[in-house]
Amino acid sequence: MAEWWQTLSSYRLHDLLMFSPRVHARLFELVNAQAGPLVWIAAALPLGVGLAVHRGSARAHAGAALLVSLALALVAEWHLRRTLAEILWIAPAWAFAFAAASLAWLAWAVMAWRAPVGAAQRTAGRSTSSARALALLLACLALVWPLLAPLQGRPWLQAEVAGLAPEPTVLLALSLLTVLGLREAVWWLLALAPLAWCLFAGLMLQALQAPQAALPPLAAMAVMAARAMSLLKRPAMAPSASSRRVDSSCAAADGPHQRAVTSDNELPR
Amino acid sequence: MKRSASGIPRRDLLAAGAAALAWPASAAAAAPSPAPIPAVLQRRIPSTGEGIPAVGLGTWITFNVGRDPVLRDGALAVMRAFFDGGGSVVDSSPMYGSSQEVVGHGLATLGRVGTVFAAEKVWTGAGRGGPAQIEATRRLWGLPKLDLIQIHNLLAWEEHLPTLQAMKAEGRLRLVGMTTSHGRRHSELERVLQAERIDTVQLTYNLLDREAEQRLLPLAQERGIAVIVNRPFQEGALLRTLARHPLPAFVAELGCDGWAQLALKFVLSHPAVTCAIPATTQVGHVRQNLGAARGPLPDAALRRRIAAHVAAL
Repeated sequence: MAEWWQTLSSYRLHDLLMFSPRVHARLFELVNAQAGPLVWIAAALPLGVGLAVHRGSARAHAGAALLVSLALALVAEWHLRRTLAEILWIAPAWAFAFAAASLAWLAWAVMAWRAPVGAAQRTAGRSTSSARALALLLACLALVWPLLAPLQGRPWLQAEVAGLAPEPTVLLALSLLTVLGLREAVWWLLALAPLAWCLFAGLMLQALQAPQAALPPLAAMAVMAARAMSLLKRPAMAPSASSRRVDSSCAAADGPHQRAVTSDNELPR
Repeated sequence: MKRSASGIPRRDLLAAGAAALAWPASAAAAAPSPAPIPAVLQRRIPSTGEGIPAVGLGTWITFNVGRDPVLRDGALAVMRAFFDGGGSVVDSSPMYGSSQEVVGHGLATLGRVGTVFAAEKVWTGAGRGGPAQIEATRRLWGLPKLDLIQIHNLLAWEEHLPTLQAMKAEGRLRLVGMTTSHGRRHSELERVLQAERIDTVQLTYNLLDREAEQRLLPLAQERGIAVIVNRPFQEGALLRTLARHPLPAFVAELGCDGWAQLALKFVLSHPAVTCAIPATTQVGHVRQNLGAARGPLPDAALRRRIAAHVAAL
């Protein structure tokens, strides 16, 4: 182990890059070709998630979570396991992580959909306006991410589309996470793979000298900062015994979605 | 063997020079037929005496293209140009993603299984995993036997070396080597070269990374160990830097068509160097690289002048 570490630590970021920018760009072309007309549906996923964020209802969030789950599963299989794994030996581990995250999102989506309406609305309504703005920004970023290909002089066939390419897909997941009021454990369960990919993608894109390298890590940092801020606000804004009984995080909600509720724990958080 | 002032085996210099001189004359005599290409400079592996072309083909990054049919065709074109140009040494590693598979596909498609000099590596942190990895590598190349197995970046070399020596004794591989790159772990490599019997050593050496000249290259020469040079262009960074400057007039006698050939000729002209293995995705670059192993090489004085000129740029 020590020798592995000694060897590994002597490498610079660029030395760890196993493939060229051209090969990386071709990955998207190959996956898009496999997907066929599904590319157009996938390209619209950010619209669906953005709409759900905008509406703010629990059912909309559950539906969006289902879309995120599907997108993560497609990326795990088509991009990571079938394609990237051929040129990057760590890709199968990423495929596993995305598949696990997909299952977690699916489970949450199903439970959220089946939860009582009152509790569901309460969870949906705890996001602040700034959190929703960040969520919409991330969804918009995922929507325009495919434009990177033509902007960088690559063909449209190499467009990186949410649901088929990892970066816009994790942006979608992070977008939704920003507005979901979840318990710490559940939040991290859903967020871990997307956040980790943001860091990995940032490093990989940096090594590839891609201009967008900073965007995934910045998105991850923004989401974590928003999460931290929402957690910090909780104690100060939970004055009454009844609201503490419900869930202190409910008090952090604002805007038209804020509601009084009397029961707790109906919703998977 | 007699050596020239530059330390190159005189036989090699004469052969290359004669071929270069003969080329225009024969081309003029038989105008309609394609001009014969001068032979690529051959260098001997000291432990066996066999000759190999002085320019090989690296596969790091460039051959890691997966099953992408377009990019595989590109790799195939590179291999075709390489073999047609007189090359034979192809170097890869289990660390290089799909490169081994792409090389194997190319060899099978081009029918070059019998002519390639397969320089491979073992890259695993545990010695017991070595034989299985080597066997997997052999299958990917589609060869009955690999020519050279090198311990990649000295990883677990104490465990791998006895295994490789045993495999060599059993006739399951022909040569055993050790590699490093980027100037890493030179002190440890020096100890290995002094203490162990290996056939080849692979290291980084180029116009700017010249640390190996101090101890490793002389030691390899003294111990009769063939030297394979990786990163002769610093993965292209060296050439990108040099491209901003014209070739110096004082190298005109070498007949270089650009900095790439001059950089390779500089590497090949070191008396300890057996073979350089630049990697490329361009057919034109393959031909250019092989061209560096034809014609004259700089002698010791010219080497010093070239190095000083580049350092001053």
